[in-house]
Amino acid sequence: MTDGLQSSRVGRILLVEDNQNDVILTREAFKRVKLAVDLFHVENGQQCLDFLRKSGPYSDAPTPDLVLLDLNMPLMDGREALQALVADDSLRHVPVVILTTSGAEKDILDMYKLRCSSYIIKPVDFNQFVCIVDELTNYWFSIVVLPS
Amino acid sequence: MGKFAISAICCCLVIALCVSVLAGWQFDLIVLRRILPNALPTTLLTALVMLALATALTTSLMVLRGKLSPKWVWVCWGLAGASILVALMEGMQYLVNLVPGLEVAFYPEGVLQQGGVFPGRPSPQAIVSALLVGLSIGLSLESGRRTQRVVMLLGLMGMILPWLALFGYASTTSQLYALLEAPQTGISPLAAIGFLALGIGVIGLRPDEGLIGLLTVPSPGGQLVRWLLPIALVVPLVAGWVVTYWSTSGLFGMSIGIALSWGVTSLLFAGLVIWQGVTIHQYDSHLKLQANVLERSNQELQEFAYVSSHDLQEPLRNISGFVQLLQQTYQGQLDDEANDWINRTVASAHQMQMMIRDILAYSRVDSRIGPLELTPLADVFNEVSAVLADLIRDANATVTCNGLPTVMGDRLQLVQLLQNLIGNALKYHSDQSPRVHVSAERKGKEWVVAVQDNGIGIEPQHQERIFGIFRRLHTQDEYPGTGIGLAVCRRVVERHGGKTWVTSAPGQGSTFYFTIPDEEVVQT
Repeated sequence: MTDGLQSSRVGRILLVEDNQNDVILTREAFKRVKLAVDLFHVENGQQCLDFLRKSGPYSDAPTPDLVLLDLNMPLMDGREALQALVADDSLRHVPVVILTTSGAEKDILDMYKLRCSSYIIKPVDFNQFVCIVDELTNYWFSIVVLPS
Repeated sequence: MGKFAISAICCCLVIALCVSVLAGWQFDLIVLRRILPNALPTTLLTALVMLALATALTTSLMVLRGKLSPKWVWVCWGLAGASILVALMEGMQYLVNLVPGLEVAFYPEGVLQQGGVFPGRPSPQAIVSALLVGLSIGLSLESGRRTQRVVMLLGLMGMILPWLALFGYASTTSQLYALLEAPQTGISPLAAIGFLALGIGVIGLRPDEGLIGLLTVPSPGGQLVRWLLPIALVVPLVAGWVVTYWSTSGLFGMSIGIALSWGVTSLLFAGLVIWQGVTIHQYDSHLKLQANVLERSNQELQEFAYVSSHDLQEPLRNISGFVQLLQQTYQGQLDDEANDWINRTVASAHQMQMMIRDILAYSRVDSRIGPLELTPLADVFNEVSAVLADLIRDANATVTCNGLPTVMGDRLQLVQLLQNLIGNALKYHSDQSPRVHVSAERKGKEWVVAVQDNGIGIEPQHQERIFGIFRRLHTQDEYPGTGIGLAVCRRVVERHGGKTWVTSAPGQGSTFYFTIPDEEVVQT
C-alpha cells in the first residue's frame, strides 16, 4: 500500500481566495475538522501560479498537494489560472478543486471542461461548510492517493 | 361616431342619394335622377334597393356600436334579403327576357317615362352589385374571422362594376357602364356612387380588421396604403377624364393627351414609390437600432443575474458564517437571547440567499428557453410525480391526471411549471388528505390545463396578487417559501404564448389554469 502521504507528513492545501472574510472562515473550518492540514493562502490566480512555480517571493514555497481555487478574483481569476495551470506540463498533475459562490451552470461546465477535480459551491451555513471541509480533507488525504 | 365614421358617412350619403332620386321621380325632376345631362337616369327600383341596403347597413352599424340590441339582426337580414330577392327576380328577367317585370307593378308611370329597351328595369351592373353587396351586408353581423373575410371580399367585388362604370362616364366610353346591344340600359352614375358607398360602408363596419384596419394602423404599411390607395384609384380616373375632356373640346389631340397622362401618372407613381421606400427604409433602420438596444439590455440583464448570484451571496455567506463562528466559539458565554438572535441572523441570511436564488431562476425563464419541441404533458406529469414522490407519500396525497395532450414546449420549463403548481397544491393543503387532479380541455386553438386541489383555497381579492414576484399570503412560520413559484409559472406560460389564472374560494380548494397553444397551431 502506497500510503506514504498519510504517515510521512501533513497534507498541504493552497487556498486561492481574494475575500479576507472567506479566508478566515475557511481557516476556521479547517481547524474544526478531524484531519489536520497545512493551509497556505494566496489572493489571486497570478499569485497562485507564482506559488506553484516557486517564482518571485514564493521561492521557498512548498509544493501543495491540492489547490482550492475561487473563481472570481482580481488581476487573474480562477478560470484563467486553471487554464494556465492545465497548459503548464509541470503543474498539470496538481489536483484543483473549485470552491466558489457561483452556481452558474456555465461556470460549472467550463471548469470541468478544463478538467478541474471537483466543483464545490460554498454553502451559507457555516456548519455545513465545516462538514464539506471535513469530507474534502478526508477524501483527498486518506482515501485518494496523490502523486508525491 | 369615432371609428365607425367611414360607414356612417357612407350610410348617410346613400340614403340622401336615394331620397333625392325618389324625389326626382315623385316630383318629375329629371336633374335629380341623372345629375349629368347625358348620363343614364337612376331607375326607381335601383333607388329603392339601395335605400333598403343602406337601411340594413345602418341597422348593422347601430348593432355594432351597441345602440341597438343584437336582436335587430333580423331587420338587417330582412332588408338585405328583400334586396337580394328583387335583384334575383330582375336578373332572371334579363335571362328569360320577360317584359315587363316587377318595376311595372311598382311604379307604372315611372316606367313609361324612362324609355330604353327595358324601361325602368335596374341595369345588370346594379343587379350584380346589389346581389354582392346585399349578401355582404346580410352577413355583416355574423361573427367569425372567415365570415368577416367573406363579407369584405363580397363588398369589394360589389364595387368592381360601379367603379368601372365611373371610368366609363369619365372617359365617355359607354361600353363600361351600359349593355352593348342596348346603350340605354346601363348603370347610372348615381347608382354607381351609391353601390361604391355601400361597399365601402360594409367594409368599414370592421374598422380594426382587414382593409380598413390596414388603413388606420400607424405603421409604414398603413401609411403606404393610406397614400397610395387613393392615388392609385383616383389619378387614372382624373387623367382619363382630363384626356377625354381635352380631346373632345379640341384643346389637344387624343394621342398627346394619352401620352401626357401616361407620363404624368408614371412620374407621380415613381415619386410616391421612392418616397414610401425612404420611409420604410428609415423605419427599418429604426427597428434595427431598437433591436440592438434591446439585445444589449438583455445582455446587461444576464450579467446582472450573474453578479447577483455571486457578489450578493458572498457577503451574505460571510455574515452568517461569522455569526455562527461567534456562537460556537463563545458557547457558554452567551445567554439564550444572544443565541436566539444569532439563530435569527442565520435564518435571515438563509432566506435572503433563497430569494437571490429564486430571482435568478425567475430571470432565467426568459434566457433559458430552449427550442420548443413536441412534449407529451403526460410525460411531464409522470416526471413531476416522480420528483415529488416523497412529498406525495408523506402528505398521504393522491395526484392524478387525465386527457393530457402533446404540446410544443420546453420540456424543462414545463416540468418546472407543473412541479410548482402541484407542489403548491400539496403544500397549501387543508385538513383532508390532499387530492390533486391535472386535466386538459381543448378550447379553440389552445389547450386549457387545470390543476385542481382540495386545499385551503384563496380569497377572491388575492387571486391575481399571488402571481407577483415574492407575493405571499402567509408568513414563513405558516408556510415556508419565498413566493416565486407562481411568478415563475406565469412567466413560463407567457413564454409559451399562454395565460394563467385561478378560480378558488377559501375552504373550497383551488383550480389553477394555464393555456398553451395546440401543437398543430404552433407548427403551422
